[in-house]
Amino acid sequence: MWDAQRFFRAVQAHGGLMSWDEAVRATEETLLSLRQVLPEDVSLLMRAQLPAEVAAFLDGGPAETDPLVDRELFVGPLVNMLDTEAALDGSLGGLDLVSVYAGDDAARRIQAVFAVLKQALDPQTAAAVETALPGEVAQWFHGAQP
Amino acid sequence: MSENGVLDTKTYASPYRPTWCPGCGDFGILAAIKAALVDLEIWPHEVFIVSGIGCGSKLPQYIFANGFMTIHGRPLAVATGAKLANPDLHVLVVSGDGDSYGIGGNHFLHTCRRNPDITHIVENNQIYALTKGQYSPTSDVGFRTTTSPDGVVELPVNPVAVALAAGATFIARSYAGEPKHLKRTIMAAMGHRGYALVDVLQPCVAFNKVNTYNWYAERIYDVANDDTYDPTSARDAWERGTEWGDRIPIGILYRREGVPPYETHVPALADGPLVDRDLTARLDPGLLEQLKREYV
Repeated sequence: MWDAQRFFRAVQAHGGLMSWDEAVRATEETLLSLRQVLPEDVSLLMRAQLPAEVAAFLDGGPAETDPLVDRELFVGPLVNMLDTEAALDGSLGGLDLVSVYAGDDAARRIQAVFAVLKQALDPQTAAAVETALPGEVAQWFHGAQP
Repeated sequence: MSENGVLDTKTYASPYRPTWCPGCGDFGILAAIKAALVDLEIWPHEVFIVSGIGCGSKLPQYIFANGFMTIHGRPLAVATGAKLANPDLHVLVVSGDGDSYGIGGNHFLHTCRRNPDITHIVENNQIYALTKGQYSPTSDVGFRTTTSPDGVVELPVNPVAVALAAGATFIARSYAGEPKHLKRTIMAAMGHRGYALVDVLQPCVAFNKVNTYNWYAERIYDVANDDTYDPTSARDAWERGTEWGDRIPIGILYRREGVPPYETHVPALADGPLVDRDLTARLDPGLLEQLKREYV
């Protein structure tokens, strides 16, 4: 069984993240999205194999899976935590929007979490997770290199 | 129509790719609307989607159905006109919190009391996002934006309370991060005969870093899971509708059936809706020329 320190350190390394906090945040938001799409039995299997601090991020999900969660909604929680605006825009007012890049950044961070999950979970559970994911996100999971 | 002639979400696929930010709650709302229309077996020619101005108001371009993007704050007025002209249409309004409760607040009040048979889906992200981050009518006190650098000082509009006080006959709240719940709520709203408000809590991933997916996930709960909750009770609706903070109720908060919709008792439509009338037969050519001289 992995411990939480090892898990977050591995996410930080895989994602090339600047800080420990970013690794924790990427893990938390990825699992927040996962709990929307994972069947209860798969979620229970995951919790049993993950460090308690990581498994806790799966707590409190909806009672049933949501088949309408797609790639965009999956990255949403993580994009919500990333820098999406730059300085004040002097020409039009408001903030200068850079969120278009945040989607790719979020996808990269999610893949880092997936890579570590694939190491921490047994192959059957990892396969069940991949099956439950929306199309493009399943490809990210499949392609994540431990 | 799908290639096989079957009604499914592909039937509603638009050739245009949304320009929303990655992860925007509007994606969940779009998916829920499509799924609801399919489950209700409504074809694109049977639905009319009216929007205003804002990020979410771009939605009619992203769904293959009749659509009309109106000016800011006016979609309810246009939708009411469309419903009067052709009551057989399923009329949806999709507009943001600024559009619906700010500049369109007057139309919101009067639509509640008129009770036309239209479904109003409000993308409530508590910020003006298309214009890049100004506080909106539903922003919480203390929320810092470019137009509230010291934090918002006025109380937010509570759309549930306002709709209830104004006489709305169906009031619901849902969450863009749970599109399955939203789909069910939209289906119930469309099944209601009269004005139906669906206030959709929606994270703005770019400009609202307070009311995030995480923030909502920790707070929302469905009143449908509370056996003591009675959605026909205005008292229950008021109590839950004004609950906001550590716990936020979603679901069908209020419904009152049996109130005739506006379009059924407008005297000018006693002879039937405009869409069924032969308007050209009544047009006096002399009167037409006179009007042209006067106004053109």
